[in-house]
Amino acid sequence: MKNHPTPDQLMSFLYGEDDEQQHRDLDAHLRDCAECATRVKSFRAGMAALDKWKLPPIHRAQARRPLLQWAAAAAVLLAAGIGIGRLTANDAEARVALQKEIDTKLAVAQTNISVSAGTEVQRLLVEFVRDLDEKRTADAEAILTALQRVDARRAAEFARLRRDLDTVAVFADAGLSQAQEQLSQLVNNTQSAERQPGDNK
Amino acid sequence: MAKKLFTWPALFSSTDEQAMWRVRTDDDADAFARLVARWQGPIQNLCTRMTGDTHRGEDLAQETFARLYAKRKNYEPTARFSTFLWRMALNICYDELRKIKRRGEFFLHEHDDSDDAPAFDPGGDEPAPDDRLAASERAEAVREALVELAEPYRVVVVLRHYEGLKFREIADVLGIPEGTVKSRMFEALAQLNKRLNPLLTDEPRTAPRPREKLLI
Repeated sequence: MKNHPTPDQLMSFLYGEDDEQQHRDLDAHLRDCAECATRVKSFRAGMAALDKWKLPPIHRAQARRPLLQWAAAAAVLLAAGIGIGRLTANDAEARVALQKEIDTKLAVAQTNISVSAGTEVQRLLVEFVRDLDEKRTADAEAILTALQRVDARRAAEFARLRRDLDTVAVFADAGLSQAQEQLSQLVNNTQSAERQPGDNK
Repeated sequence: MAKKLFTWPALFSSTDEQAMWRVRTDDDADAFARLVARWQGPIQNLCTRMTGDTHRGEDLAQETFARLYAKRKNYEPTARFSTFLWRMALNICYDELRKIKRRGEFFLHEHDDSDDAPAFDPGGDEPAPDDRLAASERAEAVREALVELAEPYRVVVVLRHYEGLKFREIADVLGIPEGTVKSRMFEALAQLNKRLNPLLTDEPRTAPRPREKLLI
């Protein structure tokens, strides 16, 4: 590469979006051109600096369902507490009873968690459905308004058309009457003209 | 070894486009939940980087998904879902930035509580308090420099450098030629270098940790 790389070429090079040949050519150019090498070094430093601003990872489940996690943690702590208390008795019967109790507590906790999860899903669904209904109502109202507007416009056009037709009909009627009169007048004139030569004889 | 044409999970998992189509046509809540799970991170990061504010980023990401559901009927299956979503999130960011400007708010500093402070990943082991402070200062300087960039430059940096989109994809999202995207990126990096120059020259002030790379 004899010429200095363009900004486009430099960006493709720095972000690895150029093809192998272009990359090799630009690499070779950088070895020979101190000016371009300095520029690339400076850009790379800037890019590395950008990496210094890191964002904390997003814990969606934690953020969304704190109650669920607290419920699970409470259930585990409860079971552990009961376990430690009962184990100190060192009795076979007590162990069986303890096992049963833990199982029951865990089952209850599990049910509670399922119920909480179900409630949350239900709440979300209700929100979605409400939004959906609002949107549908708004759409229906908009459509109704538009239809009414179209209807009104059509009625107005119909009325105007009717008026125009009435006018045309009146004019046509008047024209016909006039033509009829003219024709009868013409017939009269013709007849009188025919009669006149005979009279002269 | 012959390259696998497909994997079982890939065969049964739906693409974003298919999921969005189900949301559009059947109001499928499961498909929508999957889309949110996949895209919440990238969208929240985009909104945070664009506004320079973590809390605002969270709010804007939520607003983006609410709008995605509300406008689901506008989705055309010919368009890539990612492009559709990036555009929607960016429009929400632009609206918010306009509101900030109108109210004359300044957001050059993050809130004081430690949760909001820009995080610095030490790379595994716990850094010394001095190092942590220096890292936090560097992160804050970068955040400020980015927020000071004009929006057309900032958006290109955020999408290319932080979100990892190709220049071609950015051109599609922004509806501008690929060449323009690259020129804006060039200009943005040049401006950032000027703004971050003190930071770049201050860097060797402290001895580099073994796992920490030098800036220059």
